Amino acid sequence: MLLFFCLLALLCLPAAESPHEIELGLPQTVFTLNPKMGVHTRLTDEVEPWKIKRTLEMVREMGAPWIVEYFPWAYHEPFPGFFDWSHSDLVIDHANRQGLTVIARLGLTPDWARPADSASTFLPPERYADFGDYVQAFADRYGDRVPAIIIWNEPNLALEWGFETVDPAGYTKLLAVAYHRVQQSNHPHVLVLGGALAPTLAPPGHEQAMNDLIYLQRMLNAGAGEVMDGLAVHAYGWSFPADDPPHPQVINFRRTELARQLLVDNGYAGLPIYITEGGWNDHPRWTRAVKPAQRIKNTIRAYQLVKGWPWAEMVALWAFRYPWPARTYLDYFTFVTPDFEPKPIYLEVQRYSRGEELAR
Amino acid sequence: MRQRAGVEGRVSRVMGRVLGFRGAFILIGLTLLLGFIVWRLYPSGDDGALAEIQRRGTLRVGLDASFPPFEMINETGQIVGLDVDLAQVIAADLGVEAEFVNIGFDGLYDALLARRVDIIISGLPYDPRWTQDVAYTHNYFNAGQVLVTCANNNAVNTVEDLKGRTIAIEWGSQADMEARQLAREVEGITLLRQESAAAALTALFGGQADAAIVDAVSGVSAFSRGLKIVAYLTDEWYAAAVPIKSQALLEAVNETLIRLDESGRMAEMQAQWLHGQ
Repeated sequence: MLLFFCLLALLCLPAAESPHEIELGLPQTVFTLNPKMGVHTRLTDEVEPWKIKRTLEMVREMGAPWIVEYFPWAYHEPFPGFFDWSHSDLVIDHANRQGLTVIARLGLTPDWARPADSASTFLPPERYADFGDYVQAFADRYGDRVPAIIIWNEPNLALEWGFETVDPAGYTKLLAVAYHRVQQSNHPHVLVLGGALAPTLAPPGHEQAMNDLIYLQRMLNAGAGEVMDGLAVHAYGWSFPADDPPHPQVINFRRTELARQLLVDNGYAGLPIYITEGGWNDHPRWTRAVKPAQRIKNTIRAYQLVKGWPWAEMVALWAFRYPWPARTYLDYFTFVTPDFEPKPIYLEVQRYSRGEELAR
Repeated sequence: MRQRAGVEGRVSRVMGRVLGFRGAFILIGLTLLLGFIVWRLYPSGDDGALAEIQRRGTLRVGLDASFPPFEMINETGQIVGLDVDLAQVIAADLGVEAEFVNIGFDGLYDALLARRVDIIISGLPYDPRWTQDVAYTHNYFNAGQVLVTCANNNAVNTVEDLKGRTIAIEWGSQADMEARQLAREVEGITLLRQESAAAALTALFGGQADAAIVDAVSGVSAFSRGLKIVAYLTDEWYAAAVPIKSQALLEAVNETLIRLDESGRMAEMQAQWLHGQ
């Protein structure tokens, strides 16, 4: 009898909602005066489908047609050859339905592809082919909806290179593996973006990092120009205005122009640049932050600058929204709070994208 | 039950035969005494961090010296600030020297858990996600957003008194967000957006606004100019953090924080560092 009532109770429970039960809704279009505007979203750890949808709706409503999103290899291939695309389907389906173009960042080594006790950013060279499998599988599945992928993240930092000595030639080998596997996929037109270097003035021989311009030159010396379709650039402005002129000893937004010049000098003027991270922080006291009013002006100016750069395809600023508060200065990079309250910068960028006057 | 009593009885009889009843009582007494000593030294699973700090003679303090006026590097390359002074008082109470370890904010908790530092004192907001691994001390500063007005303004004493009045705020800041929220709740509020928190306060003192919303650091800094806090609109409490098992250290730090608070010394230290920020 007890068993009967237990079964009855189970039958009476509402069916668990599958992640796809949030309706995609009708296809939308992004209305904007600047088609190069983008943001880096942070949906990797966002579990609830309605929050994914709402985030992407708000990106569209702000007037940004591009997003960059992270699709960690470790999450999507938890066992060799076993791919779990449930979360990436959710993000890409909703993004496309909102009229957004997705650039996918791929990286993060699964446990099975690296030695025990190694960092998740460490990938031994003998496992590059395994990463190639993931890249090809990703391109096979999403190549008709995701036009470009970024290979790894900030490999000029030891932190992002498995706490090993950074290695531009080694990274170029990884890039080459990814490039050739995309060529072998069902969608060989998917663009492979290399670099995504952290802007840094680390002196020669620094154990934690290599100057991004030096690293890029060494990548190009190792043949990177032949195995990428574009260069991903991180363009943080720190405390400098967007118009601050570029200089090798300064980290500012227009440092991007120095990366562009390196491509030109090395005979790769035809490679476009995608700014896949960047922006300003408006924490009240963090030493690298600017005042909120300056952040608004710098951000809009950065979008305007990139619109005028024929060699730059888009700019995705960090970061649209975090799933939960970081409770540090990092919260002051965002455009929207975790509970979807638009910050003033969101509203001002929205006004800019619509051609309206700013609030002040 | 009966069987268990039988086992205990057999153990007593065996001990009695081996040690004699007097010897057995002495052994039990010594065990209890040893247990009491251990309990006093390392209460409730304490990791012994306080004893180790006192043996070493230094309290290793983790901070990110990029956060004035709480911690920053001065012209001579020294780390200074409110948290630095606070750490020195805590260290003195423990009978040791403070040793400062400058770490990026993102790495502070990892450094604590890896035992590279004994305590974090770094304008650290309480974060419930870390409470399985760290213990927070008593709060010592609320850095939230405050509604302020001139000290001689008797018309604005609550949020409701803002009806039909002008509020100065820093354009784009969290205060701007809070003001927009208030404007939805209280009728007839006009927002006066300025380029900075300082400019918002200047507008208040200049009579262009009836009130202002600024972060608490900016608000407390302006007390000497004749400002009063009407209400905290948000809370952002700062506390120090120690590993969750450093209970004796936690207790000792809390004793210092309470003493500083009750004696008024904490307010003096805050006034010293926040003035003119």
